[in-house]
Amino acid sequence: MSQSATLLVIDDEPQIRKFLRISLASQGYKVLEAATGAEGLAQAALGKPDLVVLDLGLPDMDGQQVLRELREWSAVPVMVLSVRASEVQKVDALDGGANDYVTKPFGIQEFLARVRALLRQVPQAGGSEVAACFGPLTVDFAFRRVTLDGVEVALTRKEYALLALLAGHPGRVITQQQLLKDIWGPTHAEDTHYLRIVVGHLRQKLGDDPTAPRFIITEAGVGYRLVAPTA
Amino acid sequence: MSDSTRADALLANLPRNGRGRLKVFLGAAPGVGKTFAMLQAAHAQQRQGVKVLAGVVETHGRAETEVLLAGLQQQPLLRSQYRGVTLEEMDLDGLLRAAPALALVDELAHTNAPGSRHAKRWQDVQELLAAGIDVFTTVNVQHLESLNDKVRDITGVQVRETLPDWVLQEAFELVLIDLPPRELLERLREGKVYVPEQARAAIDAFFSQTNLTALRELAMQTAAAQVDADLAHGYRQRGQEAPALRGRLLVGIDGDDQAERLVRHASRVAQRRHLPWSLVHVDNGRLRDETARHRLQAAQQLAERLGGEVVLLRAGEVARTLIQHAAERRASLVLVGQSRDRLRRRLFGTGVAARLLRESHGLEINVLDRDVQPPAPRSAVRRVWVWRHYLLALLATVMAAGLAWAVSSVLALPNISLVFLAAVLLVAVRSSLGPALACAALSFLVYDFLFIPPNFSFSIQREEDVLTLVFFLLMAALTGNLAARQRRQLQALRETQAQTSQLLDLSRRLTVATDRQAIFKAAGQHLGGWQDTQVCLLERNAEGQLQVASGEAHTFSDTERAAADWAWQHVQAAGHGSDTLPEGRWWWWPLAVDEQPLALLGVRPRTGRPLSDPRRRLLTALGQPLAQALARARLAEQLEAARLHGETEQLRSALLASVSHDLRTPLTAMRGSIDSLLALGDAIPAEDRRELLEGTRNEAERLDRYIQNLLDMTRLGHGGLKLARDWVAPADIVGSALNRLRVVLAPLRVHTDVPAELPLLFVHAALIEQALVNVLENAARFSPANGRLELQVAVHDDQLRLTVSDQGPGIPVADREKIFDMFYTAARGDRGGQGTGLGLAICQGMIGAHGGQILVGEGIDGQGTSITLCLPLPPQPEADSETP
Repeated sequence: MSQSATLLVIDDEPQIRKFLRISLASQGYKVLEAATGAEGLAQAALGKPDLVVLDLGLPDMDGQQVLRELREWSAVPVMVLSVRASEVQKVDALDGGANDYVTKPFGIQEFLARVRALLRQVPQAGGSEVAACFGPLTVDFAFRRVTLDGVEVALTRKEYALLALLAGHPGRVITQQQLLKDIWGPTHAEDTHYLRIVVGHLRQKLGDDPTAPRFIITEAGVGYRLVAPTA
Repeated sequence: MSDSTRADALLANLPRNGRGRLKVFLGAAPGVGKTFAMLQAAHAQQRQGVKVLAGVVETHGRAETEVLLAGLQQQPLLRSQYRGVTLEEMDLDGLLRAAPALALVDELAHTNAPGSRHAKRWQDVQELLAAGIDVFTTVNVQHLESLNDKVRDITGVQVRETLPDWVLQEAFELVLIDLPPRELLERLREGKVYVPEQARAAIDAFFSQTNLTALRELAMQTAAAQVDADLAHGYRQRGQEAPALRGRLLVGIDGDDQAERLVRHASRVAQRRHLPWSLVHVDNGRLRDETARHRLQAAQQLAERLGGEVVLLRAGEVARTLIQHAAERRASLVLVGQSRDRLRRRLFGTGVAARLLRESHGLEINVLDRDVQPPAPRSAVRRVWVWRHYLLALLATVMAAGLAWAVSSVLALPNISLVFLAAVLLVAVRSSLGPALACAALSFLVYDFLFIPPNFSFSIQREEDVLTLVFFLLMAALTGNLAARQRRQLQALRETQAQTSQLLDLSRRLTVATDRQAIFKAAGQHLGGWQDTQVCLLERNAEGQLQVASGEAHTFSDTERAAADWAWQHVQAAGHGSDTLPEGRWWWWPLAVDEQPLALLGVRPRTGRPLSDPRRRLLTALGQPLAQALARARLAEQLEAARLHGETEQLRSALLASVSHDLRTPLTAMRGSIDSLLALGDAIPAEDRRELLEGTRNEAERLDRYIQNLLDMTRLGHGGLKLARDWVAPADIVGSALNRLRVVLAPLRVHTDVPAELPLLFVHAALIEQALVNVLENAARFSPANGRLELQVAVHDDQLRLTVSDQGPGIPVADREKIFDMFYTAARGDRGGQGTGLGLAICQGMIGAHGGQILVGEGIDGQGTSITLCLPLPPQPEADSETP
């Protein structure tokens, strides 16, 4: 968790770039800025940032296209800035290689939390972690055990698979399709109801109030996210 | 002198909508020099710089006239072939295209060749005038309609080419070209007057000294009448008393041969005495044969052409009805003809004229003498002798005789006559008066022969038998007459009833029809069932072309189409049987209200025979309600469009007002807070500073929600709301909504009641969440500080219900329905009471799009409001079958 990571902010709005710069700089990050997609790609090549914050509504190129081109030669984590009520856009971005998104207008706390979550993943793509802690919840990947406040929780195979997937990318959103494909198989990519039912059971077992969940957050129309660890 | 009369007179002098002015050169006979005078006047105009074009000028080979004509520009005549003969007519379209300031048209009363647009040249001139072109023209006095019979009386020649009087009366100027008869005769002898060889003999009779003098007087009288009218007009303009229009002239006509003569006379008298006049015909059921009806029709048309009104009454008593009508219309003068039966009139004084004289009060009665006329040379419609009826008479008599003979042994002699009487009655009822009388006569003879002693001979022995016979004949004739008359009246009534029921039927259908399409359909259905004619309705489509609105699709020839266009443009009947373009098979009748054509009624007789007058009358009568219905439909359409427009405008302005207020409110708070921080930052304590900043953020979130509402609303309105449904857990929606409103709900005590096991919804999550957010925000806004807010989710039958209850001021029962109406909520905006602003209207849209509904009720413990979103539950999907 290097606090001197370099972040690239690609957004055509100067006000947004300004407040992001100020906020991120206050956390010790180094911030590069770009106002257009072309400039952003150039900066990404030159500055070699650890994270790219990409606005989808750019003047010269479509944000998705920037993402596509970036992904051709870089695996740098990308956080996408999108507007509400365009779930399709978010899902496309995530499918197109983005790692997470925030919806405009967003709270800075949430943004920073997600940035942190993304930066943590950089060394490995996940899977080498032995266990993850999320407050009272601990997920032990090696032993395939989940404990809540020290008490083991009995989960079904699918429930565990879901939790493990989410825990493997804490704080990041995993799309519904991704979850369905990984857990049920590629032919079940549209069977969202499976997901809902399993999540419902999981939440129950974890003692999570569905209207105010502590651990598993539903991102409507996009996917799920496991709350970032407080540590 | 009233202001309005004077105003009318003044107005009449203004150039009428760019209509051209007509100057008429009037002469008593051919050869007085009308054409010459016209050409001279034209040259004078040309010298003043007016563009003059000669449409048609007849020089008749006169050298002086030809010289004058050569100096003017001429429009070439239109040549056409008709039955192997080349005819030349005035080129009307050419003149219209050339659009000169002044056109010269000779011989106004001329009849155009077949194939021309109009039947008469004066109608062509009307078109020229309508197009704004001034016209000089020439007319001989014998061509005037109202003088036609006078001229015939004077010269013995019936002139066929006539001109309606009103054409002359409308003329701007009338110039009398006068030549003393002696001089005219001299000219004739010198060969200066055109005389076609074939008509030599007739013309010689025409051009006698006495004739010419009389014609000259007629011409002068006509010109004088015009001057008189102009003078009165001038007085009216100056505001002085015009000859007062007192009273009215009524002319009563029958179907006899005096009808037209009476009408002409009436028009002359009315003109002289400046009275409006009406033609009155009282139908007492007597008029049944074709000739009489034709005469009546012709008289009516003549009256209309001469500017009189036509009134048709149905009553039993002619004289009394006339008197009544005269009283109603405040007539001062009644003109009638002499009764036919001179003898009866003298003896019994029962003629109409006599009755009028006796029974009227304060009326001036004029009785016109009978005129022995040569038989009218119209295509005689001979009375069809229905041989069948006379055969029936014979048969009836024979049968009666047989019956009587058979019964004669039982019945006494006088009573046997009753059998014959019965036969006469039967024949009278079955046929008409003629056969009935024949039967009576025949029965009389048979009765005499068979039953009056001595039997089997025609002689009469006893005196009392003579009386019997005479009275028998009398009775027979009387009953026959009565029965026949009854039958006629019944027939007349039947026709009236048929016509009325047709009208009623059509009217009924039209009342039900709501729009133009329905009206056309109803009309088409009604009129399509007629056997003898084919009817269709035309209307103008968006491109301005006439197309068939009902009836089968017909193909029209060019002439027929031209006639239809003309009828539409000029709002007059055209086509077959009319004065304009009569070549086609279709007759066009424009249906118009206030001179605005709405549709065209086209009629084509199926058989070869022309359209009968009763049929034409019926159609024009039916046209009235049809035109009214179409006008009504058009008004309704306009009203609806205006209403929609009004509604849209209303909504738009309400929304604009709402938006500008509701956007400004959070911005004001934000701006205020930030300004304060900037300006007074240090003076404000830390926690207050924090509060201001937090307030700014909250207001920003509120602004965001509001903008989201606006966006959703525009999508709702434009149908851009596409539902991307997916399986959603209700708890997720609730959680997400509560999360978004965390700050707003913070000061309240929020209780949620969400069961653990809830069925899944198949909805567009973001929209339902937005709806819930709006409801929650609304409840929160009006809740008292630290008030209770309850959110409950429950399954009710096949619905999922999300209920939000608060302890706010509540919504009055009367308004509970209205709060979802965008007008109501938008108009009152956020500053209204609970349940205003766009939020709830959008809820309605979102929930409604999912097939759900919203219920409004009382809130917590009977106070406040509760709003329930009801969503239909889909059949639950199957859980995966694999091991969990």
